[in-house]
Amino acid sequence: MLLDKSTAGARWHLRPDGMEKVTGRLRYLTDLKAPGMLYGKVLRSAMPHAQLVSIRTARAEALAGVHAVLTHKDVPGLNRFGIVIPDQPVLCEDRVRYVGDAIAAVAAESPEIAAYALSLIEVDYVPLPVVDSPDAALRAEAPMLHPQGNVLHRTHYARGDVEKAFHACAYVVEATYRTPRQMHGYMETEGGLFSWDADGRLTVQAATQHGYKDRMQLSRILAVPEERIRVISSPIGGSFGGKDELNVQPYGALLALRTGKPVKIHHTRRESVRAGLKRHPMEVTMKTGIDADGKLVAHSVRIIADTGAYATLGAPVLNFATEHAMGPYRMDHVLVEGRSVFTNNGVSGEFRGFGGNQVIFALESQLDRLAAQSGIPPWELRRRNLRQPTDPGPLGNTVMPTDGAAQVWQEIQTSKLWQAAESEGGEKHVPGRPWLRLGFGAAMAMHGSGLGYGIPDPGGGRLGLNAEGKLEAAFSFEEFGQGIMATLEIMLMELFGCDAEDLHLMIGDTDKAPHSGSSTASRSTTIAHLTLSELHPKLTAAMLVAAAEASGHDAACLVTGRGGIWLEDGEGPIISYRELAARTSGSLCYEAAVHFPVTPDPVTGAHFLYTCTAAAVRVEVDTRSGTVRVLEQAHAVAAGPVVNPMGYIGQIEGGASMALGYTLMEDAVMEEACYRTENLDTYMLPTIADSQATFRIHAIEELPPGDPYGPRGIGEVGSVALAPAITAAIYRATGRRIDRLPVRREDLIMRLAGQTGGEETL
Amino acid sequence: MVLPGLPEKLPHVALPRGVQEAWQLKRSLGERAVYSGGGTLLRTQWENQVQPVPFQLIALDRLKMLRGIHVSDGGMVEVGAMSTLNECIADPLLTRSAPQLIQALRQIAAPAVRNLATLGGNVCSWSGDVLPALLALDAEVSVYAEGKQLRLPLDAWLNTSTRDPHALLCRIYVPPAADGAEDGLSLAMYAKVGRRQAFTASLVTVAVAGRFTKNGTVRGIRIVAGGGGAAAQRLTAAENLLEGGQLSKERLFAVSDAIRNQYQAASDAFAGAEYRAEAAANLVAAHLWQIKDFKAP
Ligand SMILES: Cc1cc2nc3c(=O)[nH]c(=O)nc-3n(C[C@H](O)[C@H](O)[C@H](O)COP(=O)(O)OP(=O)(O)OC[C@H]3O[C@@H](n4cnc5c(N)ncnc54)[C@H](O)[C@@H]3O)c2cc1C
Repeated sequence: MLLDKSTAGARWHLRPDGMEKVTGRLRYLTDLKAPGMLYGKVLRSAMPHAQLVSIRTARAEALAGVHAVLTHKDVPGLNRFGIVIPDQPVLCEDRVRYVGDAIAAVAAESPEIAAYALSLIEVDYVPLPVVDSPDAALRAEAPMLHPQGNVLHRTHYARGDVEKAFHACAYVVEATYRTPRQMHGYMETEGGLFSWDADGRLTVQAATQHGYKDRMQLSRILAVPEERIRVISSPIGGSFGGKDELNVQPYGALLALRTGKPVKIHHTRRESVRAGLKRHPMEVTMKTGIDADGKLVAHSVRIIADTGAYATLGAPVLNFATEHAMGPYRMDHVLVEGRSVFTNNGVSGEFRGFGGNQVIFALESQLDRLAAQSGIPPWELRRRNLRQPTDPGPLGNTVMPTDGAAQVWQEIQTSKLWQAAESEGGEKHVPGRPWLRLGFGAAMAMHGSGLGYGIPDPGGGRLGLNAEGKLEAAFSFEEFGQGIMATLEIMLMELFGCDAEDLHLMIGDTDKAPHSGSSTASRSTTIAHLTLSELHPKLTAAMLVAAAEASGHDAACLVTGRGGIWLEDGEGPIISYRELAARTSGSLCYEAAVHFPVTPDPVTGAHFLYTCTAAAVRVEVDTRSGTVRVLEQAHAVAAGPVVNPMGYIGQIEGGASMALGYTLMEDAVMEEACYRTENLDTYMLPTIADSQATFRIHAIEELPPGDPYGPRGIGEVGSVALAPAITAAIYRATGRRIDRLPVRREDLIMRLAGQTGGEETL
Repeated sequence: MVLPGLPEKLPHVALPRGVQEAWQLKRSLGERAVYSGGGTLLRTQWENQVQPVPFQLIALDRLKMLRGIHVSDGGMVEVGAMSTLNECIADPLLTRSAPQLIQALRQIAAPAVRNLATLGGNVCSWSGDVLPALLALDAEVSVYAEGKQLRLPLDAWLNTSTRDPHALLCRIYVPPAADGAEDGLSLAMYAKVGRRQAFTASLVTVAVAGRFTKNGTVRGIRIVAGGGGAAAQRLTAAENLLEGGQLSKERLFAVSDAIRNQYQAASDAFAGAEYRAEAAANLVAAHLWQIKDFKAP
């Protein structure tokens, strides 16, 4: 189905947080203030790699207006953080490993005084050799960045015998693909407000994608029980994975503890660039072979990921890349070997797509190369290799059957964009401007949701009728622009047949919502669906019984509806939710704990639920300057029922814009492990002028019969297949293969003399 | 505001009412003072630590002489240096007489910046994107320097080695567009290549002016390239190949070669000089190739 405002009809649901956001009235957590509040700032390392010899804070402490200066000595608990492996110092003791490493934290009466105080802290460094690439890190003489060496994590997956199988291939291609250090580029930089109350309880109001995880990490650092920490983590001005790990929270909490006053910290963009996470740059070498019929036979993959100075989610990201290097294709002989390597290049971590984007770019490019070699049209080559609905997953793991791959393949082929490109025969010129080249390209991908086998992935929520007579749903999810509020609202309105006014939604607060797990990995929609599927019948039954008692009607004739409980074919509620609440006095309240669906096979990182996507684009390459413009985009997505059409479109468009930036301009350039792009004047994000392409989304809602898991998350899938579609289109237009992102103008500029467009030759 | 305990990091701001006063203040303080137009470039320079925050800012806001856009003697449009980029874009006189200048202005920064940024500030940044357009138009300037008011071609002012370092740019004079009916086609163009479609620093900018006469010869050709950190440069070798001659394919390719050879482009982490020179050559040659009469036999 072409998904837009008109096809969505009555389900086109204005998001409840929309008006406040577009008018700028919404108060984000970094907009909060408290009486007597101080401003925190963090001293970051001046060097990418050095020994710390001494840290002298006396001059900063003596500055009027400064209330506290903290170093590693002031961390009461574990002086480390990290979601999986806590290896990053909260405040460095004797060594710094990247330019964002924290050395001291200051609380002062104004941000200016705090900044000035940082300049008064004297740090003596002894520079160490800088490890500025995975290559350098893997050399024998490289300095060890961590006790276990410079390899954070290795993956190895093999089936069949690739070496032997390559001999039997009719065509084999091999190439190395390089992808950039993309920055999340959220509008709201990291920050928040931290305060301790008189009873020694800490309230953290700071962005995260997993409030309970922050609570656990903070409890370790502060040496305070988790119950004495409340994390309020919503609403957030964008995250995309970048705020999943702790960022400013330890400093805010420690400074507030020391000073006894509320402390606000809010990164400037520069601080955010310097300290914040980025997408893993990867070097992916693939050797792929097909037989004479175009069947994929052998595929060998080597992945080297630059994970930067600390672990955070580097290992799971590599697991994900390893799993997704085979795409939605059948292949008998596979070898994937991955290494995630420590360097001094910032810190790489979680980012929308989670390691899929890099390998999908490589794999889809391989298929295009094989198509060119064999003469089999690229899309036909894919068809010959598509997985079948009940095939195992990429790592041989049992998965929920899905026909998504074939569905998106088909849907893109019948799209208007494809048909138009087809009728032009792939070549089109602009009369009078022979330097313009137009091209068409398409690519596809399969994307796992949930955290994957081996990582506990629990969720849950609460549903009840509260004292005010509202149907109250509580989840610990965060709203960071993805539209979770609207999605929950729609789900609940459809389940209860009620109005938005009958609802009260509570999210992002560890004191008020039970553990729902992280708002990551395209998992929230599924968790909400599973939780509500369990809780809705319970609450409904209890409310109907109570309503039956109150009204004398048989519960079997009653239904929930707008404003209250109705007779099945009644004209209005016979008892309002408010009256019902008064009678039941808040006793109707249910909690459920669910687990994200996971593959039964013990294959670390492997997924159970997958969504599929295909993207097609038309691009224009201006060979005078090598500038690429995307003129049209079509996306097909197979992710089950569309709960929230506007949110769905927003996620696919947003993911695609991010992928457009990834393909054409975004790269946090580093030289000797220092950022050359320190602000948004040199780090280019796409603007609306770059994203003017016609954009169509085809949503495939059909799931195999009996599928109990309902709508799948679509937070990431819009961002994974666009890059190879664009580079395929560039190849069609210019004959040039792009193996490195972002696409460089240098690689596409052409001398004017001799260029031919249609009838015209220059 | 000076904060307790902080060194005097924030500059003092002077608001002189006359150009002489402004210039004298600047001269007396030397490097400790800086003129400020819209302050948009200055702010980024301070933030990027390529320029120190000065002791004294000399804000030019109250100088009447630096305001207003009108037609002056000889039909030139004169523009006060403190005119904002958006004021210039909205001005009907400029739109009529110098469309390529308007094109250049529209591609600088974004609307909010263009509301503050001044034409004078762009010129005095020495690498502003407007410079190739103004040089191609053979604009003139009036400056207050060495204690007096001077008027001279922009080209000459930019390239004098003895320029008064405290010179205050007062007005910019844009020659009238040659009357289209009288003799053939205008060769005017402006193009900017950046790292994205809008709101981007330039990698390359080129501007061309001149005429392609009815009898098929090129007259009054001026070709200028700039962009990135590079100073805007007249590409004289290419001009010499074209001036007085006819347009042919061979000549165009020779012009491209000449541009590639002469243009001293900037280079940074985002694009090399060779690329920029190639792009400048392509943009100019493609533009000339598009001149309609050229293609007719
Ligand atoms: C986000 C952003 C994007 C930008 N994008 C572009 C772009 O695309 N292209 C581009 O060219 N520039 C760009 N700039 C740079 C800048 O905004 C422009 O060059 C602008 O025109 C400068 O004008 P201003 O009045 O703000 O100059 P100011 O910052 O006030 O001054 C600039 C320099 O000129 C001097 N000066 C100012 N007026 C005079 C005068 N009358 N006489 C003598 N000296 C003077 C100042 O002392 C200073 O050295 C950008 C800036 C920002 C912040």
